[in-house]
Amino acid sequence: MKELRGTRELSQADLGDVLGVSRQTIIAIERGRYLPSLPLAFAIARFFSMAIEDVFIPDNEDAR
Amino acid sequence: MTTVPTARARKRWWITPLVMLAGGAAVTAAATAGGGHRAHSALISGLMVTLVATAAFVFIGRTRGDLGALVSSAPDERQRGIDLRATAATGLTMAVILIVGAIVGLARGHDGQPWVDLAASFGVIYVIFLVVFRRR
Repeated sequence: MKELRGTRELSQADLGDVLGVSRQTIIAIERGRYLPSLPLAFAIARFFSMAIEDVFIPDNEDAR
Repeated sequence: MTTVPTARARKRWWITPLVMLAGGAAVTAAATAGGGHRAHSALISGLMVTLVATAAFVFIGRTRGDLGALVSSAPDERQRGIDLRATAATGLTMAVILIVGAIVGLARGHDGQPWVDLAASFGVIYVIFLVVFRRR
């Protein structure tokens, strides 16, 4: 997600404002410390005009 | 899913400091009504704790970051998760304190009160919420 944000030249705060979440939450998602909810993941994918599985790579370890 | 406080959230924000002040006033009034030689110090410390806690709440609510968002009634989903986990961890810690208190009380030859009743209440309340939340 960090790369996608970079292509749009958006700061973490900007992206947070667009998505309605805090800058800290964007940081946590980018660092892999927080898994977003499905609605937030869909909102992120929609914002970047991508499929959700292209933004978030499924990790079998996290599926359990 | 927003971090921007709505007008309703801003109105609700004042409820918590008002409840804190009302609670402090109630404790202070109880200490005064109870009288005794400790009433005066209880009155002063109760007022101080209430004012400091309310001021800290208002100050933290004005800051940016996770704590400020949690206090300002406009947390996002991750911050609400932090709040939930902190609440659960606090509850579990309190349960351990109650159980240890009961064990120590019983070991000292006391009847384990009020620890036993509080621990039992904790368990019953937990089961009630388990039943309530599994239906949602």
